[in-house]
Amino acid sequence: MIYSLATLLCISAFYAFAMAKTAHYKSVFGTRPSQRRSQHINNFGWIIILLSFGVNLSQAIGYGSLMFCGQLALSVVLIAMCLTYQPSWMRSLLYLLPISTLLLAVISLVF
Amino acid sequence: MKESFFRSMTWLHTWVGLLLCWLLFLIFFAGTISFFRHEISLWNQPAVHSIAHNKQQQHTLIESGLGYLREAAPEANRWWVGLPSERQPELQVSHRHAQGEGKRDKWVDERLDPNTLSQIDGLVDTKGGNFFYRLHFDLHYMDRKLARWLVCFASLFMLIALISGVVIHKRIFKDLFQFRPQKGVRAWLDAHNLSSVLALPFHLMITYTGLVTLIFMLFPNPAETLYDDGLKGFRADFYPERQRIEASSEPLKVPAFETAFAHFYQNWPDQKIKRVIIDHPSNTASSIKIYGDNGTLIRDEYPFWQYSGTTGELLKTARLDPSNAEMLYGGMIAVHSGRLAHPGLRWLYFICGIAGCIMIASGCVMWAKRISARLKPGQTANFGLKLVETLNIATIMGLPLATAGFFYANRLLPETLTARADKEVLVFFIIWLVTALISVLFRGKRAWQQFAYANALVWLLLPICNALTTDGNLVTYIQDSKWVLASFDIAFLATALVFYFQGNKLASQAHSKVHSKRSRKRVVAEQEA
Repeated sequence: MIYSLATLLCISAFYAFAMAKTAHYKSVFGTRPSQRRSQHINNFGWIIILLSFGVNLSQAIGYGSLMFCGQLALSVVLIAMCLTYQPSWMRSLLYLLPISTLLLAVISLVF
Repeated sequence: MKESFFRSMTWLHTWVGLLLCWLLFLIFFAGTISFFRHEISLWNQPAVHSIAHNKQQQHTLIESGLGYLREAAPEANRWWVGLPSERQPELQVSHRHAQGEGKRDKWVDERLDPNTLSQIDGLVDTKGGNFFYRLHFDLHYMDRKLARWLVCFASLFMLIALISGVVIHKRIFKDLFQFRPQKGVRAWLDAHNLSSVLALPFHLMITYTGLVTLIFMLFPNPAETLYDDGLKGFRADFYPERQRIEASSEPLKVPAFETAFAHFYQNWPDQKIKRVIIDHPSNTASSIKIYGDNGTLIRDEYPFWQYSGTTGELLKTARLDPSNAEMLYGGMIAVHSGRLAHPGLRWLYFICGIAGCIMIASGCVMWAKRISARLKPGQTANFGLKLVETLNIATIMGLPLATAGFFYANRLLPETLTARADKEVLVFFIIWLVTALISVLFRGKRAWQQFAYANALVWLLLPICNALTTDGNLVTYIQDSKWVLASFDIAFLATALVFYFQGNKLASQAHSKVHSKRSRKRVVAEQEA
C-alpha cells in the first residue's frame, strides 16, 4: 500500500518534470509556459520525488531504494508513452494523479 | 581537445557496444526472464498447478519430509527437504545416491503436496526456469569456465558502453521524455536513449553487481594471498556449508535428529527455515544442515546451522551475524539476483530488464541503419553490414521465438520421452538456429516484419495451447485467484500484441519507401553535421 503511494508520487514527480519542458507543456496545454512557471514546476517535481524516495525509505532502506529505482523506470516509461501516443490523457492525469495520491495517502494513514 | 574527447568516446561506445551486443542481448534476455525463474518452473510443471497454498507449520513439514525420505530413500547419501514458499507451492523432497568410483552422484527429485503430504503424480521432466537462469551466465553447449569468462567480458564491455554512453548522449536527461516514432533513424536513437535513461540506475547496478557475482573468478589474487591453499581455502572459510563430508562405514543406529531440531527450535524459535539437508543419514558421519530464510533482507547466502546427526550437538554456524564485508558482497549479489523481491518489485525488475533488452537491441539496429543509410544508390552492402543485419534479426527476433518454442515443447512433448528436459532445450536451440539460417538469406525489412508476425502468432497461440493441454485456462486462473499462472497468459498475449504492432509498423513503413529515400538523405546530412 505504502509502496503504491510512493509509486504514485514518483509518477507525479515525472509528470512535473515533463511539464517543466516547454515542448511537452505546449503539446499538452497548447501554450508556452513562462520561464518562472517552468522553474516552479521543476522545483515542485524535485520536492515530490524526494518525498517519494522518503516514503520508500520509511519502509526499508535497502528494499525501499530498490523499489525507488524500479518506480523511476516505470514512471518515465508511462509519462513518455503517454506524451507520445495520448497527450490528451496528460490533461486528465493533472487531476487524476493528485486525487488518487491523496486518497491513497488518507487510506494508508487511516488503515 | 574537447572535440577529440567526444569523438573518442563515441568511437568507444560504438565499437565496444557493437562487438558483443548479441551476446549481451542473450545475457540480458535470459537474465530478465530468470527474474521469474521459479514462476516458470511452476508453469512448466502442470501437476503442481492445483496445489493449494501451504497451511502447515514448518516443523510439521520438516518432520513429514524427513519421514518420507526415511521410507523412500534410507540408503541415500543426502536428503534434501525444501520448504514451500510463496513462489514454490510444493514441498521438495530430494535424495542423492552415490554411483560408484569416478561417477557423479545421482539426484532423485520428488515433490509432496504440503497440505495432504501425499506424493504429487504426473510430474514431467523439465528444467523450467533454471534453463534461463543457467543460460544467463553459463550459456550452453560450452565449457562453463569459458562461458563465464565470456559473460564477464561482455559485462565489462557493457559497463564501458554505459559510461561512455552517458558521456556522448549529452542530451539524454534534457530529452528524457522524447520519443518520436515517426522520425526514422531518429526514432531508434530516441528508443535507445529512453530505454537506457529510464532504467539507468538499474543498468549500472545490474552490470556492476553482475561482475561482482563472478569477482572471485576475475580477481582471485586477494584470496590467493591470504590463504595458504588459495581460493580453495577461502571457499572453505566463506562457505562452510559447501564442504563435502566423507561417509563413514559405521551405520548410524540411533539418529539424534530430534535432539538437534529440539535445540534449534528452542534457541531460534522465530527463525524461518528455507531448507534442511541431512548428509549421510544412515551412517555415523551424519550431519544436519539447516538453512534460514532471508525474506526481503538484502542478503544472498542463507544463515546456516550444522548439527551432528549422531549426537545432536551444534557443530557450526555461519552468517548469523555477518561482517560488513560479507554484508556488502552478499548485498550486491542479492540486489542482482532479486531473490528478495515480492511480486511488485519483481515486475519492476522485469520492466527494467526489458528496457535493457530494448537498449541493446536499438543500439544494434541503429548501427546497421546508419551504415546502410550511408550507402550510395546502387552500392551493395559489404560483408560487415550483412553480418550485423543477420545477427540482429537472428538474436532480436530469434530469441523470443525460441523462448516460445521452449514453452510449446514443455506442453507438447510426450511425458514419457527419455531425457525430456534436454529435448525442451534442444527445441529452443533448433528454433533459434532455424531463425538464424533464415536471416542469413533474408535480412530486409520484410524479414523483420514476417518474424514479427510469426512471433505474434506463436505467442498468441501459447495460452490456447496451455488451455488445451492442461486443466486450467485464463478464466479459471482468475476465478481461482491463481495470479501467477494468469499473469503468464496475460504476458503471452501482451507479447503477441507488441509483436503484432511491430509487424504493422514495419508494414506501414514498407509502403512509404519513397519517403525513406528522402529521409536517408537527411540522415546523411545530420551525420555530417
